Amino acid sequence: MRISNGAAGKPGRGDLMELLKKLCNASGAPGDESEIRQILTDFYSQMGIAPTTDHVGNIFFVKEGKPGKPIIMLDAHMDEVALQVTGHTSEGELKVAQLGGIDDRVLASKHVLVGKEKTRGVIGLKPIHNQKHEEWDVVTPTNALVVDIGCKDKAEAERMAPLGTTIVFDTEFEDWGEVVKAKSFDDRAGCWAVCKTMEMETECTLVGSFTFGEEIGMKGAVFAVRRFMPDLVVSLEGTSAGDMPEVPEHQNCARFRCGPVITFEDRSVIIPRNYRLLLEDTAQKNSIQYQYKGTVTGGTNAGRMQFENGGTPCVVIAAPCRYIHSPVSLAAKSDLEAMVELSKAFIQRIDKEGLPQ
Amino acid sequence: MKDIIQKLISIPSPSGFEEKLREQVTKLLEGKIGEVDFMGNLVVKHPGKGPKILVEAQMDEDSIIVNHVDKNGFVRFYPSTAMKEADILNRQVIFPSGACGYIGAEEVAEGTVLGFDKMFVDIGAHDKKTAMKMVQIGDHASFHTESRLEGGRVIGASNCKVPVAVLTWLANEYDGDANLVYAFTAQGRLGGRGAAAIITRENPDIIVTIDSTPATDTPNCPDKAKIDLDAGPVLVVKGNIVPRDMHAISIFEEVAEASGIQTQRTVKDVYDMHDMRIARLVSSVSIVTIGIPTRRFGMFGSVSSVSDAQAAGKLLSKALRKKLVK
Repeated sequence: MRISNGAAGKPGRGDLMELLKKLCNASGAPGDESEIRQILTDFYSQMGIAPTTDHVGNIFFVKEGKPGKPIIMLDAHMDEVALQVTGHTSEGELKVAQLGGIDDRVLASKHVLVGKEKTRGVIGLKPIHNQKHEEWDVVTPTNALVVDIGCKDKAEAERMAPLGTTIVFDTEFEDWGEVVKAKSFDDRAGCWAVCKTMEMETECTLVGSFTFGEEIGMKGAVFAVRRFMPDLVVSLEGTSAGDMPEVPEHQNCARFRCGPVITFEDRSVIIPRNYRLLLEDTAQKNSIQYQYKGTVTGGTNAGRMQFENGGTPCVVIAAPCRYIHSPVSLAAKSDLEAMVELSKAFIQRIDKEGLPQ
Repeated sequence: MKDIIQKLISIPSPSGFEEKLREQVTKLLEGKIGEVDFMGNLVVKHPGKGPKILVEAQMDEDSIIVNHVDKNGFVRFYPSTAMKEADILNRQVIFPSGACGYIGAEEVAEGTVLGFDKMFVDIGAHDKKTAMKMVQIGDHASFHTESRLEGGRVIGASNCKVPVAVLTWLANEYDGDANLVYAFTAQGRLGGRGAAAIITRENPDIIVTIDSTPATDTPNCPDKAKIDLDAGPVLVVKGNIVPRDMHAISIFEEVAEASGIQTQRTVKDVYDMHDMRIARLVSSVSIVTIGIPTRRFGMFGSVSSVSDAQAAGKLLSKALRKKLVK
């Protein structure tokens, strides 16, 4: 097994993380992913690849291969878990709902950015002095929280953040050496990995597919796969590392800094065995440390894509990230890099040997 | 029909691992050439005239999914579908390799609700290394039941076996000129996944689903709608997600009456997941569901009747010669 030393000063690594930093610091609530589309367009323009867009908000970048070779879709979703304005209080605060699944317990007192203007705000709740004793032991649900952007009254709040305005966590990307800290590794880690994988040379046609709205029900997946009719989808994701105290080994989704996670099954898809075993064999032959997803939970775009065009085989590779779907998460550079290595090696193998039968 | 049922009822067929049942169906299909796709579906075509009719039956049964093997060789798992912990405790399961084991549970404090995370399968392995020769991560294991065909009743088989037998019989017997696609589907218990892929490939005009449906002729059954064994196949007339095609259903009933085949009707729709998948995939399709009355529906070891299966086969064989699509 390869053990990455993850040296922060490794040549080229700074550039590598620069793209991830841009992607994570940008706002991309479900249905509001324009900043991500722009960053991706800028990145691919350096490769001479123009974007293809659709009416729902997906964006695609196609690197043509040789005719007769497989079309491989590299799939990642642009959106992140977020909040959305659903009302305004007479005191000038914003009532909000979740876009995607966020644990209510991690919301209170967090810094947020509201709307395209990125107005700063904080998630507020009733002060402890005004709470009854029994409220201390109860988690405040999202619909009882407010986002405070400092407005003096309802009219000002309505003007500053109209209904439907999206809100993301205000978390700056930080490089901690072996590990990076940011919001939204789910799925900017995947977006980053798609970009880096597509730098490879191959005779296969690669479709970099960046979808909208995965966190609210895999909304963009179907349009992507129907449009390009790929022979194979490689979904690249950020998944939950559960190697925490009191999580038994058999309930742990993935271990941090132990390599990319190969899904055998989740609640949306059974990965076809021949594809999964080929992926595993590729990792072994290339000495890439990997792990199987330890739980049968969650779902990804693959869950929707697998039915389309008469059935489309999908595999899922993910970087294990701690605390995803929260304001701040951690990812290891070694895991991220190995995810790209594995994706490239898998595509190279398919290029050489064809699709598994 | 009886012979087909006999040859299918004891074959384990967990979701995603339907190959043993599929191979047996292929053998029984009397020289017909089928195609198997990457999901494990078996599709056999009967080219003909008119609208394309997809006739489907799912091949899989409830199972558990292996997610972990510990250092002592105990197997941890997730349930593949909604099931109760108490229903599976101490049950025997059988893995794709043929290895079998019993479901046990950790000691939990009295009054504590037992969860699947506290359960394991003991396959008798000495350690992880020996266990991993018998079981792989990602395997699905079936619940082993002694299935028998006795007194015209199918006892102990999982829900999928009799509908698959009906479809196999139909594919062999049908000699009409309708444009039919027989689909023996994989991963049906996971919400009609296999069928979904076939639907996007074949784009049928109408889907005829052969499935089990809950019988209510058991002691003190709370469901007052009367669905009996030996009272003929059941026409499902209500769909929660996709309305049933009443035009096609009326043709099935006319054919049944003319042929002296007894049928029953039910408004109990237990096919939401399957229908939801279809509704998302295609904008316009008709569905007819032919149910085989099944006691202990959704449990391990159900009871159904050979006569209902025979009647369903006969009904399908005759009705599929009529103009089902308006």
